[in-house]
Amino acid sequence: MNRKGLLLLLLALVLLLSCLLHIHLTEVSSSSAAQANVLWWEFRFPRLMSALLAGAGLSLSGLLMQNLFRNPMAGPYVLGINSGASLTTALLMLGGFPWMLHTIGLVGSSLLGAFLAAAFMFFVSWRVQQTTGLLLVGLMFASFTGSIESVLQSWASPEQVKQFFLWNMGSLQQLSAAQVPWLLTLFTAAVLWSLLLIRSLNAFVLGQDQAFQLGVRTQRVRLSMLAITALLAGSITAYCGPIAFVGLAIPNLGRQLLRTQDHLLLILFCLLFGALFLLACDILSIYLDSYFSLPINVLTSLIGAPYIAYLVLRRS
Amino acid sequence: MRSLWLLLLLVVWACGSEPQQQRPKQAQNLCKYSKLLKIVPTEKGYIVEIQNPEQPKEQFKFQLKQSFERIAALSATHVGMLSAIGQAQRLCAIPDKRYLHDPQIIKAVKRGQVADLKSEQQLSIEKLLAQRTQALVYSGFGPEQTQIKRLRSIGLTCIPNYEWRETHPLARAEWVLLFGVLTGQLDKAQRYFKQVCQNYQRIRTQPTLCNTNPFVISGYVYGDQWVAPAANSFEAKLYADVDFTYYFNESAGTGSCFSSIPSVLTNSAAVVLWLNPGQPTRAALLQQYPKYKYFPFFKKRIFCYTHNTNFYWECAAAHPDWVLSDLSQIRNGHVKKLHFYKELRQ
Repeated sequence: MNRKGLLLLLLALVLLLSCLLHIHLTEVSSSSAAQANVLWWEFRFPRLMSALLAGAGLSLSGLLMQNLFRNPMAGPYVLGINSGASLTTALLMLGGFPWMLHTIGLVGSSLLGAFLAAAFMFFVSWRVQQTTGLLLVGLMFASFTGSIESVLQSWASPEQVKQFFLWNMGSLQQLSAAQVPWLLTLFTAAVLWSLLLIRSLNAFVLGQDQAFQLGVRTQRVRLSMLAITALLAGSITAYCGPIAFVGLAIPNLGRQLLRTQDHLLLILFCLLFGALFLLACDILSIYLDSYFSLPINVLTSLIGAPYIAYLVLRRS
Repeated sequence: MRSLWLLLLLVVWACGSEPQQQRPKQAQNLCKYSKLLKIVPTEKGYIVEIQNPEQPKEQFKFQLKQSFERIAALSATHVGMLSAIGQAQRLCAIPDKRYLHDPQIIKAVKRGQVADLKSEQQLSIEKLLAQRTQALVYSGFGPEQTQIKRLRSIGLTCIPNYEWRETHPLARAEWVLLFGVLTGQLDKAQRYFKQVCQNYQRIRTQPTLCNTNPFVISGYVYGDQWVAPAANSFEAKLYADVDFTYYFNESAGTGSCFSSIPSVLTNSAAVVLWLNPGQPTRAALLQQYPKYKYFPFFKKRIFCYTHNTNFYWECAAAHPDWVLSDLSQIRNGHVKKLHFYKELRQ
C-alpha cells in the first residue's frame, strides 16, 4: 500500500476513534432503559450522523465546485448554492407559509432553492467564461439573497423572525432519527453519482476543452456536478442550517496533503476528512459546553477561515 | 488672674456666640430596590444617577430641572412604564410598532403623530429631530452607543434604562420613578410604585393552597442548548416568591443560563410545570423543535405569555404584581384571571 492509501486508512481509523469518543462524550446517565433508548436514537445518534454526513457532504460538494470552476476558492457557500437553499427556506418561514413547515416542506424548499441557485450559476457559466467572474457572480448572488432575507425579516412577525434566526444559526442537533434515512439516502445517491464521474472529473482537471477532446460529454458532466452539489448542499442546509467553510477548506487540504489530482483519492479524502473535521468541531463544542455555547457554524468558521486566508496568502 | 478670667470668659462667649453650623442633610435616594438607579431630590430639581452594570466605573449622572414634553422610547418596556403612570401621550417616537401592544399608541403611529424608528440599532436622527424629541430613553445593549454619542452631541438628552439588568422584579418596576421624574409626575409614579409593592408583598405572603413546592422548569431549546433564566435573575426571584422549586436553582448568573439538551431530558422527570416555552401552542412547539415530545414535562402543564407576547413585554416590567399573581394562581392550580399567561392546551 502506498503513502496515500496509508493516509486514507489512517484517516478512517481516526474517524472511527472520533466516533467512539463522540459517543462516549454525549453519554448521559439515564433513569430507565426507555429513556436511554430515546437518548440514543433521538439525540446522540442523529447528532453523530449529522456531523458525519454534513461534513462529508459539504466537503464533496466543495471538491466538485472547485473542479468545475477550476478555482480552489469555489464552494457551495461561495457560489451561492447554500444561499439559494437559505432563501427558499426564508421564504417559507418568513413568507407566511407555516403549514408547509413540516420536514418535507423544509427539505423540498431547501433543495429547490439549491437547484435553482445551481441552475442560475450553470446559466451564468455559459455566459461568463472567467472563473473569477463566476465567483464574483456567486458572491453577489449570496449578497442579494441575504438582502431579500433581511427585507423578509423586516416584514415578518417576531415569532417568524425568531424561528428563522434559530434555523440560520446552524445546528447538528436538529436532525431526528426519522430524518436520518432521508439524509442518508440523498447523501448516498450523491456520493455514488460522483463516483460514476471520476474519469470525467480527472479529465476536467486538464480543462474542459481538453476533457471534451478526450471524449468527455462536458455539458452533461457540468450539469451533473451542479446537481450533485445542489443535492448535497440543499439537503444538508435543510437539516442542519447553513454551515460555512467546510466545503471550501477540506478539498484544498486534501490536494495539499495527497498531492494528487486523482479524484477517487480526493473524493475519499473529502468524505473521510470532512466527516472527521465536523465531528472534531462538535467534540470541541461539547468540551466547551461547560464554559460557553458556540454554534457549530462559528466553530467551523473559526478554524476554516484562517486556513483559507493562509492558502490565499501562500498562493499570492 | 483677672486677665485669665477675662480670657476664659472671652473663649466661652466666643464659643457660645458662634453661629450654629447646620449639618448638611444627607440627600435621600428615592429608590429602595434598584441597584442601578438613584434619584435624589434637590432644591432645584432631581439628580439622577444610573450605573452601567457592565462597567462599574461608568455612571450616567444628570440633573433634571424641568420635565420633558416629548420623549422617544427605544423599548416596549419603556412605553409600558410611561403608560403605567398615564404619560404615554408624551411619546414622540417608539422602537418598532410590531413589538407594541397598546392600540392607542399604534393608532398614533399610523396617524404619524408618533414616529416608528423601526430599528434600535439604526436610529434615524432626522426622524427624532422632526418629532422635536427632547429626551431619548434607550436600553443600553451596547451597539447603539455611537449613535447615542452623536445624538448627545446635537443636544438631545439620552438616558440609559438598565431595568432589564435588575435582579429583583420590584427593582425593575422601580424604574417607573425615572419616567416619573422625566415627565414631572414623580408623585404619581411613587404612588403607583407603592401600590405595586403592596400588591406584590400581599400576593407573596398569602397562604398557598398546596403543601409542596412544585418543581418547575423554564426556557426552551435555543440553537444547541437549553436556555433559561439563571438562579439570580428577576425571573427566578418571581419563581422563588411563589414557592416554586426551580430546575435551574443552582445555576450562576443574573441573566440567562445554559444547559445541554440531553441533561435537561434526563434530569427533568420530576418537573410538573413548564413555564415560558416561547410558543403559544404545543403544535408550534413541536414545529420549532420536534424532539420536545420526548421531554417528560411536555405532557404536563405548560404556561406561556406568548398568546400575547407584546402585552407581556410592554407591561410585565411595570406590573410585577400581575406576573406574581399569575404565577401564584398557576401554582395553586385555581386559575381565575391571568393577566399575561395562558395554558397551552393538550
